[in-house]
Amino acid sequence: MLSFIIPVYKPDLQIFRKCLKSLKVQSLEEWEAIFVLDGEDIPAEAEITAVLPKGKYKIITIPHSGVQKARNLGAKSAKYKYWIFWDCDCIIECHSAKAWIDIFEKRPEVGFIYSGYKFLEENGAILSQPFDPFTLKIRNYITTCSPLRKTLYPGWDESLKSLQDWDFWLSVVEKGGKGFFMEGYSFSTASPTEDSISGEGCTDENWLDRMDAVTKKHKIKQNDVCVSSIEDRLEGIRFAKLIGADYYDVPNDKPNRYKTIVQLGFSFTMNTKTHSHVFSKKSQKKILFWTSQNITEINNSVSLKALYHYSNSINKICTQYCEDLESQSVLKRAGFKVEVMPLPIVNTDEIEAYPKEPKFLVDAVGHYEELMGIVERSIPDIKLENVNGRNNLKDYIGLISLTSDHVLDSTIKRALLTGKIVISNVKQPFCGFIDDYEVVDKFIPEMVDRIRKASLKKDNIPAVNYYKRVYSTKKILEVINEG
Amino acid sequence: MKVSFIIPSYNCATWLPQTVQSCFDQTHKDIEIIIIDDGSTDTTQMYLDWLKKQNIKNIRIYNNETNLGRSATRNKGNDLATGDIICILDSDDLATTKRAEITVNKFKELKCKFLYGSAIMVGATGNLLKNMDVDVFNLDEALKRHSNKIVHSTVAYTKEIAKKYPYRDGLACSLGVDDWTQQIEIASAGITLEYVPQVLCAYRGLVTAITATRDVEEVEKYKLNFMEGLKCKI
Repeated sequence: MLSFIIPVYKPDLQIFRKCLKSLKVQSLEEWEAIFVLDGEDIPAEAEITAVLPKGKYKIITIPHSGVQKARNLGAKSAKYKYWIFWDCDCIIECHSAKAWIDIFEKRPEVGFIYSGYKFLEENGAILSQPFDPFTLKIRNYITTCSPLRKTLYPGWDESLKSLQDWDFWLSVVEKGGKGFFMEGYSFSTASPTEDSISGEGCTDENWLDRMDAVTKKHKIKQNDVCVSSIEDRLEGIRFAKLIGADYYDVPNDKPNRYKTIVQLGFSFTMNTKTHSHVFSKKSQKKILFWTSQNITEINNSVSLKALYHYSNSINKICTQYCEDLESQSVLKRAGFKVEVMPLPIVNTDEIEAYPKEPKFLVDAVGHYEELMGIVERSIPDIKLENVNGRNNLKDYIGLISLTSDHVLDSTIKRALLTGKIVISNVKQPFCGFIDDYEVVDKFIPEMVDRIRKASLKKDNIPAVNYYKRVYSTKKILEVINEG
Repeated sequence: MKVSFIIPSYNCATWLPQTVQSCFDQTHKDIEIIIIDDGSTDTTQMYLDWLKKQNIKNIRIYNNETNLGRSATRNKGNDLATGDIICILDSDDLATTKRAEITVNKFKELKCKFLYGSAIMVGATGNLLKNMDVDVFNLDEALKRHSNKIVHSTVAYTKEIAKKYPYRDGLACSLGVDDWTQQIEIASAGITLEYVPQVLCAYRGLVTAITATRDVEEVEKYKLNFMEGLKCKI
């Protein structure tokens, strides 16, 4: 089922032995390993023959000619229909390969599968992210050691000095390969050195040249604007697509040509360092959109001293915007110089007919959560499901949003733009405002009544039309391009 | 012994589903649930339509063509009951899970025709507000006080009692004392109203409830008239 193609060049023999043993004991039965000794290596060969059973492997020895060439040569001898280019310092998890094959066999649309991986020596790990061709054009997040269908194999580009893995996966995607992100880890490996991450001799000085080599080959357009959204990456990616910008969590971790950085959110309680790092490059224009989560933090958990510190530095370097007057007044009190400009949002989902079974998505916090539990018992005829990050709005008739900040957040925006009914404690058009009654005797019946009546609705087109006008991208593009 | 829960409902879309659920949760399984909707104008019908579709065997749902009022609806429910014992349950109250079990056991043990039990008062979220003031029934005191300290949703009686002593309609109904008059009539006929000192229901204490808004003077006047009539009969 699966061919491991493994170039071997001066391996650490101890780790190599672990690598071989992990292949031997894995739960997948039908596999082979093709070792390409990139330069004669008698000790490595001895390890292979000692650990692996005969018939499970082939050994090809070539004069030293580089890892790409070795991989291409090895591929010629692979006999199975799924291939994986393995590294001799990677230790596979026992059930990874079996899981991959199950997915390939069940889902013909999946071209390749990838996951995160762990480091041997320390607790560190590289997490990956869900597959999106858009984000793959900005930076690679798919490890070389990921299985693919052999029909998608594009060959390893032997002319590239760095970023060959990026080039490889871009080529696979261009051939029509669709990636599948499997959560978790599929193998462990030695901690990376600078060279092993980006290729030999890749320094900050030649980074841009090496990036250019790949982007030119794949005709990837250079963008002036990059969006970062560490709190909510998906939201950031959607926004970047909307305004035609790049998306990357930490755009300034490497040399780049971005003129403007747009950041969504600045959290005071997590990742403050990373958040500030985004703004580290002096020559860049910096735009910060405060999110509803930030407003909640400022209201509840940030010390005055910290606010004083951050407002001083952020005011100096960033142009700041927030969603509405309510958020603006909170931010101004906290010392931030901020203007109101709703974050444009586009609905990437189509407006579809409501599901037959009446179902509502619930985003409720604090005492509202308890109240919604009571409401749920009063409407066995209608399903309520709590937000868990994996919900898809199209499965629901509407959204019930009862959060503490009373701000039109991205979940509500998206619900309105996909034509869903919204019941919330936000005083904005079509948000179905329901008061924070002190008497729950009234709140519960009113909520029950609202939900039942909403479950009879067929669409919410007036809301869609209204918010399409409000959330136009015109204003934000003017701000970005000005100066 | 089969127990019939009679639930008259009128514009109680929020609480009725919880009330019905409290019947499903009974430990005594030989029960039937009869819901008679008295022309609700809120979303009750949506719930009842859903409930019908669930095809639950021991549930029967009826709709009054026009609004008949509380007493007539209760009497209709009693007529429809097929159980040996009728358990009253108002559409916003919750039966405790052992209510039917305790009731059946007491009927067997005491060979009685009418019983009632203790109750607690809960708020909208099911939160305990207080223990209700329920005590042993005494006809003279009940007449003197013009109140009887019986929580209606704890009451159970035989089919025979239901036939003989229907709820009074008219003013008794509109003033919300139809249960009181029924109980006085039964007690006056020498039938013991047995008291079970166990909590049989959670009474919903809502600010919007009907008993909180009725005219006390009118009620007193009606009760005096009713007692006059009763004496004549005796």
